[in-house]
Amino acid sequence: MAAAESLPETWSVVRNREDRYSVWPDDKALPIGWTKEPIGGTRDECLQKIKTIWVDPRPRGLRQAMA
Amino acid sequence: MNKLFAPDQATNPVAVDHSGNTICDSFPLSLAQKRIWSLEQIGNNTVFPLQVLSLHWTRAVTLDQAQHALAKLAQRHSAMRTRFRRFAGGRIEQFSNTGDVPSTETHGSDSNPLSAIEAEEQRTAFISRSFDLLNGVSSRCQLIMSKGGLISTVVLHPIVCDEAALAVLQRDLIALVNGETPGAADDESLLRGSREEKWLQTDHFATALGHWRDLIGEEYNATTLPTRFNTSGYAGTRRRHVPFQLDATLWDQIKLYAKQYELNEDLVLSAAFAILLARYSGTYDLQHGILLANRETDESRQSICRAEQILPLKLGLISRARVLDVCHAMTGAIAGSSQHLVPFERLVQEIQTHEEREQDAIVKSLFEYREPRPLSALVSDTLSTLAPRSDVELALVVTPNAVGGLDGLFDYAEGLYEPALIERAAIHFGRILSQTVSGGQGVRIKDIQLIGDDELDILSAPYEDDGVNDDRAVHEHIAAHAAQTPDKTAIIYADEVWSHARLDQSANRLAHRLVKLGVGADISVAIAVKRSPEAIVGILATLKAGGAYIPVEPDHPTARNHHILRDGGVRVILTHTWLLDRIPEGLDATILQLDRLDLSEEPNSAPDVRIHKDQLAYIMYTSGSTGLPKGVAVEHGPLTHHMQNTSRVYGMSAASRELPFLPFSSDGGHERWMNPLMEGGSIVLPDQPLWTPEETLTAMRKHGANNASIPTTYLQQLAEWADLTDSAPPMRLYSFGGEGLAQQTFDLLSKALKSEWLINGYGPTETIMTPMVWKVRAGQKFEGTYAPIGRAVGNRRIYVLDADLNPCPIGVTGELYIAGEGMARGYIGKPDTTADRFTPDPFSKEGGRLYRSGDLTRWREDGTVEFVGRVDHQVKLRGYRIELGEIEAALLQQDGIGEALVVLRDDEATKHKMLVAYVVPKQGNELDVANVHSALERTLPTYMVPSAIVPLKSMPINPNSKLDRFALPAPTRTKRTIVEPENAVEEEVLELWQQILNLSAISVEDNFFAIGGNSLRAIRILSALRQRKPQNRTTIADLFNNPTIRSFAKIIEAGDGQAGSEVIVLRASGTKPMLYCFPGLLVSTREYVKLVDYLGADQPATGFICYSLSEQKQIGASVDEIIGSYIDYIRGHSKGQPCYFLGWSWGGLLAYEAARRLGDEIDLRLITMVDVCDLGTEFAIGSTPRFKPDERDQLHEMVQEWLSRTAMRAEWDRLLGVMDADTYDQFLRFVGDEKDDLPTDGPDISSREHTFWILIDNALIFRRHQLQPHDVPIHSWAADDSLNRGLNLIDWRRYSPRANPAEIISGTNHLHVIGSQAFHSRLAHRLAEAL
Repeated sequence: MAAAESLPETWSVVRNREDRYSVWPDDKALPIGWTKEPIGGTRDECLQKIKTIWVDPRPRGLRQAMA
Repeated sequence: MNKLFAPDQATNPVAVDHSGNTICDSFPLSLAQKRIWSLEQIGNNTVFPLQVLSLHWTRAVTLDQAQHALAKLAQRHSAMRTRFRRFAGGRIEQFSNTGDVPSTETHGSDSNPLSAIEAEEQRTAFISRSFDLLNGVSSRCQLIMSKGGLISTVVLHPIVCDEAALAVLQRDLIALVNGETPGAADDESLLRGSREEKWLQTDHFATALGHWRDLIGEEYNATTLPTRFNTSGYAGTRRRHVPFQLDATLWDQIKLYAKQYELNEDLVLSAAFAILLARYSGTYDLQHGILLANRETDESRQSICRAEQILPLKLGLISRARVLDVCHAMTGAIAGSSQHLVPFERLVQEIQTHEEREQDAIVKSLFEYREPRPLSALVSDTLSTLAPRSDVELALVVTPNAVGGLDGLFDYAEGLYEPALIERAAIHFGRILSQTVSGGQGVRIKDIQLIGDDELDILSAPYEDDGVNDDRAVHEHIAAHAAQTPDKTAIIYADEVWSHARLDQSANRLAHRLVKLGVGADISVAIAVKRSPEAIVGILATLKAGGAYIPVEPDHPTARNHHILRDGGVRVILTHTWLLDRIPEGLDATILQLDRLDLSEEPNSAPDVRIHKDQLAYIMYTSGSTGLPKGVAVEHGPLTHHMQNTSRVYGMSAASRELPFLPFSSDGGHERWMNPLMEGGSIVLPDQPLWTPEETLTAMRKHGANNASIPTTYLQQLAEWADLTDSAPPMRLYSFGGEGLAQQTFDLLSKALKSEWLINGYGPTETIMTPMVWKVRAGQKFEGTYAPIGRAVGNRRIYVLDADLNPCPIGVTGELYIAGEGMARGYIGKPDTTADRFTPDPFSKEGGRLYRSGDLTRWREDGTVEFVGRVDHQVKLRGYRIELGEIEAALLQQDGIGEALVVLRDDEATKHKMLVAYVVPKQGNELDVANVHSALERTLPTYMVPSAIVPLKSMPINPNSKLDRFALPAPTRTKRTIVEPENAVEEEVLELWQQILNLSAISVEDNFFAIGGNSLRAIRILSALRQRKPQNRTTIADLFNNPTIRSFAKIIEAGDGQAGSEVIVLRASGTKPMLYCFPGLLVSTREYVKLVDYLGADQPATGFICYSLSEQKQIGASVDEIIGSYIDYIRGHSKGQPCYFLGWSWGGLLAYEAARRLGDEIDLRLITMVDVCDLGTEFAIGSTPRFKPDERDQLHEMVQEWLSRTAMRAEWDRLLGVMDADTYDQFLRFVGDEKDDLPTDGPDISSREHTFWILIDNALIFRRHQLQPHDVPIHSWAADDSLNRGLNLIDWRRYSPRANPAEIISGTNHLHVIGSQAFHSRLAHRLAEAL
């Protein structure tokens, strides 16, 4: 088991069409409709990144309508 | 009539071999054999089934050929000829005679063959016949000439044969039929027992045991599949089978995979079973077992014997480990542990040593792989079926079959597992294997998909709802009704009645003002008004203006409200003048005082504001478990769709009049007023935050409400009141939610609230109001601790997933996830928390999100979801994983408890973690905490019994009507009132109690047993009393019947008249027949307290104190003398009346004799025998002990030396004085066999020496006693541990034709079986049957 356990789990910041952000483990197939941002790390690191990049909480549709 | 009770045996029912060792050598049994013997003794032939070898031969094989081969086979293998003899006292040994042959019966002939049906009938009858091991050999043969060819069957008793042995037998039989001579047979089977006996004395054994002690430890958790609700973990004796097949293609692939990675084929199967256990149990620290053939030597591979052993395995897996890693880990674990293989019977004894509680089995699930049997062109078919041993809760047996695939069989305890769950597990076992082999070496545990897409689609589906939603916002729906039915009532509030038009116009006017103040899309408005029509006007106005409302309860803590107002970035605050002081200063917001606001200039019509589906409708603040409340932001689109779906599921209409009792600080409270108004119905809005149950029911009746929505935390008192006063008005629907709804509360409200429909709603704020509901007709029953939370509502899907986001099979606990449109945008100002809780939905095709609820749930058989507990309420204490909800459920089962909450907290004094229970009594009930505590001790494992139980008037509730765990008080030690003694006798007794209980603060009204008293201490008190007052004649029975200082002192004062009894009244009243409990050695009757409690208030019971504890102890009494006083008592109290007897241990013999003596004088319905062993194996008359040379003299010297030292010399001299020379030799043998030194710590009643003395004394009493047949109904039970030890349990069927085979009580031993709940429940069942 030792070998498997020492493998670090890496995650990516992901985004969907409405510009909602989340995180996803790299070793699991990315769900349809989400794309990976070029930001990775531990789960926590990714969440910290999201804090700085997801500034406008409005979905894309509303943002465009209000613009 | 029972077969074993053959008339010719009646005069000598227990065949005893008096011939000694003269005929031929006989050999001791192995531990496994002893256990099988014990099982045979108690009439159990299901745990180890008979071993059957049935072969269908081709036509080339003749009857003669087969007959000849069978005779040679029996010559070759002594196991087929093994006989057993019983020595005086019950010792069993095995031997075989060279000339012996097993019987062979023949049916049909070449000229007159049997039809296939006849042949099968004969065969089935043959293999189901039982053996009489004392009167014959342990195998028998049958030959049938059928139209389809010859069928040979050999049946062996499992005591001499196991699965691997059958394969040897088959190989040899084929060879012999073929005319070949198999290689020399090295027959060692008879010697295995003595070899094992010797090995158990070696250091090698000690080392092996050390390995297991380290590996398993004292606190372990045996892994198995999820069990049924409310089984309490007790397996009954009935088993069920789920057979299944894996096809040849898969088996070929498995073999290929094994070859490729240099693994044994069976190891891949075994690894798949481990993975199945991990995925089903949710724990990756596995403890289960595999069955080893345990035939490492060449001799053992040739011999017919019972060699197989259960090997416990501990595996620490992780879900991202590859299946290949699991195979390797397993190889290592098997290799590491099998060199320390210890007979399982012994291992269990050594590991399960906890004195106080029933212990869980070490192995609950077992994997067995059976090698394919040798084949031959002469054999056209093997007729054997998979018949596994059934001494574990659940076993999986897999073996290659004739068509190139695998046959599998799950064999499990019927009472413990849901058949449907096992059937699915069988399918999933196959899926694990097929995905492993098709995915190659990279496949990890977490990659395996147990649930197919189509199944998942059904399980996750929402309530069926064919209605079509429109996109109009909630307030637009409400406004539409104002146009259609302007004068219809919308809101009833105290004396006010608001029409739809009034509501709409008021909202419109305010909305215009809000628009002017800049309110628009994603701009928030605080509604800082208590629940009222004005609050609703404010909310609707905000929505009409395009803004998002934030409810702020003025009564809530100021700090919390200030945080909300700042965090929510409010533009406008709607409030009242008298609440102004609650608004913080320095906010950049306009404050509108509704009571001073003049809106007469504003238009009545709606402002022209278009609503985008993505703009916010409201922000709801929720209390997390830590930190400040978080604002959950919800958009219009999902909200209106949710509301429209909910309307349809709830059956709302213009006729709906709802009483929404939920507070406005929870989103559910808003759903419940919006819903009726959107449908053109009305609401009855409570004018106070809380109404009494009386006010609530009165308001419903007065205003003709037909729906009500009530917080779960308030339901219990409402239902209780309704039940008590029968005052509930008829309603169409009650909905509730907010907390897990306990079964008892549900049943009560189902009965008391007179509602047509009930809806249990569930949902985190993050997934909008009530995303899940369970809608049922009143009166519906459910299994489980909490009411189901049902299915999704509307455009949502519900998933129960494991930590890797894999869907859990039905019945497997996982975390609840909610997906689909119906969820919040996220948390205001917390993108990281939003991203953390709302993750990509792997099941969505369009970039949907998945919300992680933090609640543990499982899918039920019907696809609805059951709430199990909070993820963070599953705690670990001293290595045990504890679900707090389970303890709460146990509390709620107690009479008088209305609400219960259990938390794990630090003991302020010791800083150790402890479980604390908080309970709210039902109305009008006083709780006795000590009673509740002892009730829990009876129903829960010790580690789950809370250290403290704190009664509360009501549970602390946080602003959202949820339980506030942080407001729970720390437990305090309660002060007892000490009642001082009133007279000299009381003072004297108090002094004795203080001294012997080692307690200073004792009240004269304290119950002796509640403050640490037990039977040994009682006897010490009596002997101390005797020293002080030699004339006093009180007995232990007096103290038991009068267990306070005050009542006991009265007995002392009353003198001889009242005192002097051996009878303890355990329960005086009750309509059922009296249960008389006969004592085992040193039994004081306190042992029966739990039992009597369990049997309930209607079951009277009387106990007799063991003569050795009573004052009339005398040397050499006979059984007749001992039971004399019991019989007198029973005759005096139950003559001609129905009654039951219970005999535990040696008490079983007393009960039986009492029954015989009393005969028809009483109407004895049933004798229940609890682990009754034949006595005096060592002291039986006629049993001659064996000594090694000089051993007898050495033992004699040792005893003499010991006698010179002991303080009980006089007592021993008296006892040894009545022994004749033979008996004294037996005593020496007994002493020689004891592992510990002879004790010298007497004469205190609790000393080892005293117990030893009593034991020998008893042996002398019972050795002279002969059991005689008597026709009386008997049901018996045996403790698992007694079977493992091969104790000489009595098969009562030998004495009474109305005795049943014994049932086995697992996880307990001879001493603790009497307190075992598993035993209690079965006893209750049998007593009821006999009534």
